[in-house]
Amino acid sequence: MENIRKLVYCFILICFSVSLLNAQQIQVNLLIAKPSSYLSEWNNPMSGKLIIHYIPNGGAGQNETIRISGQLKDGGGNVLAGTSSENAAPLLLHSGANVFGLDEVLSLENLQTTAGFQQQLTHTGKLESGFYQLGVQVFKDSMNLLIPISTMQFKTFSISTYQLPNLVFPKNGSLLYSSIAEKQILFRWTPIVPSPARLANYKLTIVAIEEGQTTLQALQTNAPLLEKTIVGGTQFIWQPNLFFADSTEYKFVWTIQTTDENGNIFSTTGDNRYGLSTPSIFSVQPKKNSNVFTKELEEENKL
Amino acid sequence: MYTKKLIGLIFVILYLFPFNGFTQKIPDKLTISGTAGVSYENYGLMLNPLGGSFYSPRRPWNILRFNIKPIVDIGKLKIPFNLSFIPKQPEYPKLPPVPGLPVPDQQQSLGQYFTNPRNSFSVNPKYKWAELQLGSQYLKYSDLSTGDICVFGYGFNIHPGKYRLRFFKGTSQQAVNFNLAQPAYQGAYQRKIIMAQIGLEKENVYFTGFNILKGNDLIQSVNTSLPNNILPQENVIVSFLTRINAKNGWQMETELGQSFFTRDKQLTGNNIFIKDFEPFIKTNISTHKDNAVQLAVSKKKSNWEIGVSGKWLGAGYLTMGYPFLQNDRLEYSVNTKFNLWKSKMNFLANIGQRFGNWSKIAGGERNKQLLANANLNTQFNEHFNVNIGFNNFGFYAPSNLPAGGIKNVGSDFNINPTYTFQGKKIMHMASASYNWSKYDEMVFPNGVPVITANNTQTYLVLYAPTWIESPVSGDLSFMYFKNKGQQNLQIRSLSNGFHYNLKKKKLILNSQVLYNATYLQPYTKSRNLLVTIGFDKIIAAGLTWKFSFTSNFYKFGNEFFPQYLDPSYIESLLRTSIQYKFKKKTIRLKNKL
Repeated sequence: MENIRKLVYCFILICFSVSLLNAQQIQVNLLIAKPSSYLSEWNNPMSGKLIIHYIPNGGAGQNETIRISGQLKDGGGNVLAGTSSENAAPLLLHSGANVFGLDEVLSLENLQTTAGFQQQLTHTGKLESGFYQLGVQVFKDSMNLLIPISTMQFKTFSISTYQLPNLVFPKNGSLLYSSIAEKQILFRWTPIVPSPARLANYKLTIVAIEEGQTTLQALQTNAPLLEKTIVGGTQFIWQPNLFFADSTEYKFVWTIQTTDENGNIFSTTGDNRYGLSTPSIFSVQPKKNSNVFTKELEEENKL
Repeated sequence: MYTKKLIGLIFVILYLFPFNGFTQKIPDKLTISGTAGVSYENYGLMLNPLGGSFYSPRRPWNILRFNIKPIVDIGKLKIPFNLSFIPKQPEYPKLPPVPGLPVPDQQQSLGQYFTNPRNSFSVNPKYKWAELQLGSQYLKYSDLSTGDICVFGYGFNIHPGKYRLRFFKGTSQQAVNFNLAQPAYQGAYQRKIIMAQIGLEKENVYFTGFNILKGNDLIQSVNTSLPNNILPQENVIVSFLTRINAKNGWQMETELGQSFFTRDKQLTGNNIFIKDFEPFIKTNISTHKDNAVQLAVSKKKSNWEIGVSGKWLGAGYLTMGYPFLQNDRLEYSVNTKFNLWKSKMNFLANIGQRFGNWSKIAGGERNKQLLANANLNTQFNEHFNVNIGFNNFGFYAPSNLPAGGIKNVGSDFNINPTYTFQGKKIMHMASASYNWSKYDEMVFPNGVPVITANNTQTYLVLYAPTWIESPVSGDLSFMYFKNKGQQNLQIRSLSNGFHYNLKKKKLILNSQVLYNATYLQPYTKSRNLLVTIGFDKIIAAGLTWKFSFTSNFYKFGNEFFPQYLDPSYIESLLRTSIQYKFKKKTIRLKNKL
């Protein structure tokens, strides 16, 4: 009997709240701009926003407490993850436009996922390439009773993740013949995959490694001998115009920085904030006869 | 704080060292050996017309470097020093590709000067099985943990008996504020690194042990906020490494690694999927963890060798010890080497495959790369040698996107015969080289293949005489290079070099003239003349002076028309260095004490 009475009170409260809400105006707009493939970066306004316009019936100054429930589906409509309104953090709705980040829509601290999607998030923290639907529903928190004030709205977006080029030629650690290398050196690399909608820019950078320097030290401290942007192509012929004819073994490191046409870095699986492929080194071997003489001199100079 | 820790560490090491004998019996002498040198580079560029934008400088105008590497031996204690530094950071015409240098016009603190990647200050005292590591160190622990970075700090490497213990703590990246002045500095957080290795080893027989690496960016280390793509991060790597060298020629190496990586330390939310890995890392919502494994097995005999190796890196496996490691790949290769015909013939070959996008996170398809190389070197007799090489490379990335898939195939073949013979007065060397290379880039928009073919051929003939009774040698070479494809390019090149060995004056003179004519369609011919002169001179015992001056006059074709009519430039580089090799100097200690 006591339970039936409670249920009746709840029903009356819901009816009363719904009638009040009808008098209020609430408009929910989910805007998705360029969402990062990393869900942890959805706090960045560049990813998108949730805008809730709220006009209370009692005039300005009347705030509401709401909770947000989100849902993420793949392009085929299969649910990958969602957040429950019960566990969502309460948010305060002011009169006028209220702007929330996408991280409030799909809060990572309150995420229920499929087993496969959980594994992917654990390993990479990011969404794989493809189409997605993000849904949002807003609830009014009325004395811990959650009353839906909008239906679940979905917006579609896409994610692109790329793999940076691998450097192919000259092979890492290769020794080039100085008589040819002083005139031209051929560079080849694999393209970025998958193919972006517009041709990628490949900036070939070659840096000399000074004596005693490591590869990374040279990349951090030496000015590039060549910076050449090749649009779309994966081969370049460099005419070094450098002197290689003495007994020194000249060492170089080269890499490719891949960007879109506006110079933006592609999102990849690595933590490569500069869009640089794994650098590769090559050396130019000293000319045989110059080497013989210098060795003689060194022999004489032995202490 | 830093100094206190350092002094504390030195005391611990001194306590651990078996120095009882050392303190009781002070060695009666110390010896000093090593090298010291200074080098200077001056770069020049003159454009015609002045101020043109058709060529930009590619080196700093002036660089002065000091390089001092003394080694002090006191009994069984060996103390090698390495002091390599530039007194003033040069102004860069183009910034290095990886940020890390402080902005040049800002005053550097002493800490910044020491951790500037341009400089390297280190001292590594060694006593029997113990080594103290202080200053800038390049330490390789393993392929999956750390090995590519320089860390400025302190640590040790001790190996009593079969036990191995290594530890190092320091800074791998100094803080750099964001600076928009041109050239723009993106900025960087100060990065602290701690690494340790514990294991068992019998030298050249086995090693087994654990590596741990922790990298941590300090948020408060910069005064300005950095661009959105530069986030303060944290990383922990734990790996288990085993290496075995069996007596019968078998070798095996394997490593298993796990990485924890926090993309943005500024985020606070709890990660509900990844627990904290205490005491090493507290996770947040941007943390991910993944694994990697590698294995290599080989068998070596006196005349042959064969081996297989494989590596898998998960899509989230990241290590600050190798900042440019490309992950999400599986690769394997088979390598072999044979010596035949009484070791006159050496054959070397390898074939391997790499699968990228292994997790399929970058699209639903994996990409494949095939690499195969073979090289045969034959020394027919003392005069005649032939080297033949072949490389094949294939890359295939299927795709269901509108842009379609990609297929690139490259094949290279080269042959290089060399003939040497001795006349009465001259030792002659004649060499030729031919290289053929074909490279096809295929894309499939709407399923239809579109091919860009590149065909490259290089011919080189070289003659190098050395006069037996005269101090002269030289070389004369002609190269013809042709590429048909994306770039329709021809290069004709003539080069002539001379070397004079003036033994009495302990002087070697070098000179070279190189002329290139470059034909890049649809433009007219470009030409350049590169002249180099230089010498190596022994001034006194152990003291060497090297000098070289290179000047390149380059005249473009009509590629910059109508903005510039036949522009040209003269680029020059002067390099000189003085290097002193210390005579081993012994100092009697007892007399001094």
